[in-house]
Amino acid sequence: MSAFNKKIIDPTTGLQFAGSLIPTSKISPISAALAKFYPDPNAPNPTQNYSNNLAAVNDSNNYLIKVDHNITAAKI
Amino acid sequence: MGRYGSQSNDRYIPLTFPTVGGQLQPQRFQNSVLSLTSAFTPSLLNEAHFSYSRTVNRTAGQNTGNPIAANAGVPFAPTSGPNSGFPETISIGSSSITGLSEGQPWFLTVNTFQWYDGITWIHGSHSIKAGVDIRRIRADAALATHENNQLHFLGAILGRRIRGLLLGDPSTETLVLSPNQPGRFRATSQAYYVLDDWKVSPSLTINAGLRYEYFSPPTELSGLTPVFDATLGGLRFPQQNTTALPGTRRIDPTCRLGCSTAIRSSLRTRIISRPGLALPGGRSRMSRRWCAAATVGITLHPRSST
Repeated sequence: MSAFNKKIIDPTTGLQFAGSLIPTSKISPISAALAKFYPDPNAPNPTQNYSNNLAAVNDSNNYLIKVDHNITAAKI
Repeated sequence: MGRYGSQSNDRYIPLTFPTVGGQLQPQRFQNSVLSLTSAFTPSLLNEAHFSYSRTVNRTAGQNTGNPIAANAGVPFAPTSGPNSGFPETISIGSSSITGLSEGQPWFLTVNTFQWYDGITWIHGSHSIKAGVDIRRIRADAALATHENNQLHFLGAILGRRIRGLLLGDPSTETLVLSPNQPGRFRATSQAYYVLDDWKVSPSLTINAGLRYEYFSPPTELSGLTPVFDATLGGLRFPQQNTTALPGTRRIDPTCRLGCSTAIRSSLRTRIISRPGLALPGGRSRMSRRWCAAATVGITLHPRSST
């Protein structure tokens, strides 16, 4: 956050975080838990540091069972 | 004769990141038919069959069933069950940081039962066919939209967007306070027909038929779906709307052309007639290589009395 050269304000106090760094204790546990789903960077470009090409899956199965039976001579 | 067919299709559509956002789409189609053809006499034939088909459509996120949102502390997110999972959306406005999202689960299951019986009677120059076709449709659907929340961080200044994300301070949040109810829809259709192929002469056949069809309006068992009521000019819930009349009617009864029609329910009745004739061409038996046929179909949609 400090790299953006912006004042980062603590909304609970209205004061600027020291060094524009959000202390770990202030980071939301919800955000921290969900941010873990971001993978680690795999490219050096700082503005586009991740790329992937995941494969799609499309499986299909077909089954057919057919039975013909003449019950009596009168039944076709 | 008995027949059973099954088709399954399993799809996985990934998103940008491997651990979140992928969609699972399992689909199952099954159909079974039992039919019996009976020749009571050389001129009287009966064909009966019963069929059952089942269609199951599912869409779920790759983390569906894993209460990630609830475990992280997202408010009102389901803690268990098929609707638990990852938040629907975490978006960071106008940023090079990709948001996280995962489609919420929905399902549609349709069971269709069909009973059909048709009789063919050859009497003199007449070949008369008559039958009945009854179908019962049971469709269940559920959509878990917003159950795991949408979180948007749209601050006007980039730093505020990321600050909001880190501090757990979204600019907007969309959630549901209680789980969405599944819809259970039921409908029945009936069709009856009679058809006569009358061979007046070797060169002329007249056929005439009549078919009556009735489609009942789909009803939701718990009364969850509203019905448009022209007398109110708005929607009423079926549980409250016990006096709704079937069919359609004009909002303005004095209007003669281009009038608005209010759908009061989806009740449909249809009567179809099918007169026709066929003329084999050529005078000699060997030269009868063509046949002129004409058919006129008339469909009547009786309107309700209101």
